[in-house]
This record gives sequence, C-alpha cells and structure tokens, in this order.
Amino acid sequence: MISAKVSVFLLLSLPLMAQTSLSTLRGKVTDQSGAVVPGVEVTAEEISTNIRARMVTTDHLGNYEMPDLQKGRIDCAWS
Amino acid sequence: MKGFKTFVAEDIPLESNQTKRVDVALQVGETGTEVTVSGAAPVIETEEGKIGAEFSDRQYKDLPMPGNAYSSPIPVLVTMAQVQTDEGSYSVYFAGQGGSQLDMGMDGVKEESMNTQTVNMESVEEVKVVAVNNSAEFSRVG
Repeated sequence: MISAKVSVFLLLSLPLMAQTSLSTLRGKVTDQSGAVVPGVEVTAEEISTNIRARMVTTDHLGNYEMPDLQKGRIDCAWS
Repeated sequence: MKGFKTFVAEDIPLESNQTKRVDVALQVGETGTEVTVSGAAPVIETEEGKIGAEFSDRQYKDLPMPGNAYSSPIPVLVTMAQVQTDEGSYSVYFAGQGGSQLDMGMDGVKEESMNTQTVNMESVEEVKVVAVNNSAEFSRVG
C-alpha cells in the first residue's frame, strides 16, 4: 500500500520539475508623463500556436509579471 | 484602459529560462486605437545577472557538417559564447570552469548522470549554456 502512494507522488511531481526552464515576462506601464498606470490589461499570445497564453493586470505601481511562459515568440498587447 | 491607446508589441522572442522586461509608455488617445511596434524587447539581459548563450536547432541544421557526424550536443557547445576549449585536448571550459563542474538538464529536469553522447542533436530544439549567475535551482553552471 505504501509503495503505491510513493509511485503516484513521483508521477505528479514530474511535470512540476519540467517547468523550471520556462520564461518570465515583466515590466512597468506608464503614461507619457512617466506616471504609473494601474489596471492595464496585458495579454500575451503565442505566435506559433495562436494561444492566448496569459492575461494579467498591472498592480497599483503599474507593474505586471507573467511567469511560466513557454519559450518562443509572443505578441503582447497593453490595453 | 480608458483614455489610452492600446499598445501592441509584436514578435517578442522568449528564450527558455529567461526573464525579460518590457516597459511600456501608453499614449493618450481614443480607446480602440492601437500603437504597434515590432521587436521592442531588449536584446541584452537586463533583469538577471545571468550570462548565457543559446544554440537552436536551426543553427545546427545550417552548420556545414556532413550528415549527422557530430550528433551530440557537446561539439556544438564550443561554438557558443563563454565556452572555451583547451588546445590539444578534448577539455571544455565554461567561463573558465572545467567540464567536471558542468551540470546538465533536459527540459528543465536536472540530470546528474546523463551521458550526453547518447543525446542526438537531431532531436534537440535548443541548447542553452548559462555560464555565470545561474538561477538558484540549478546548482552549478549549466
């Protein structure tokens, strides 16, 4: 019974380890005067798959961060 | 965002195990109008102290080598920045550190005992060397 539990844990843990090679996109959104802009929607779309990979909103300091992005080329929109 | 034009950056390249910064200055204008830029992302690494280089499958296919005579990733390493060879021997150095300090991983999974000669470059999409200031989860140069 114990050995069965261990093997399930190993199966579950493998995908998590594989994510260590993923990339992060981050930045700060300002207006023309340099003041930070909170609440801006940032979307990232993978070009090779046309999948909308991530959608985040800038925080009160205008910062955004998208972790765990697949490597490759992306199109981004700030709106 | 109301009162600002939508800012679109196309074709931002993301390498594996990389943190990229894209700062945006929104322009005042009607919602629904767009400002589009291409290749806006910085080429140099500004977020981390990491120094690394990449070798893609496309570069491998373009190499003027007969067949797949050099099918292991090891020979392509020496074409990358920060990797040196010792003249007259088969040793490889990463930013001055010997090959015995090398740590390899595949798809992000660390491989302590992987025999790299058995990995065929034909089935590898990208080789990345991080010689300096690697992330904490990779204990040595990678």
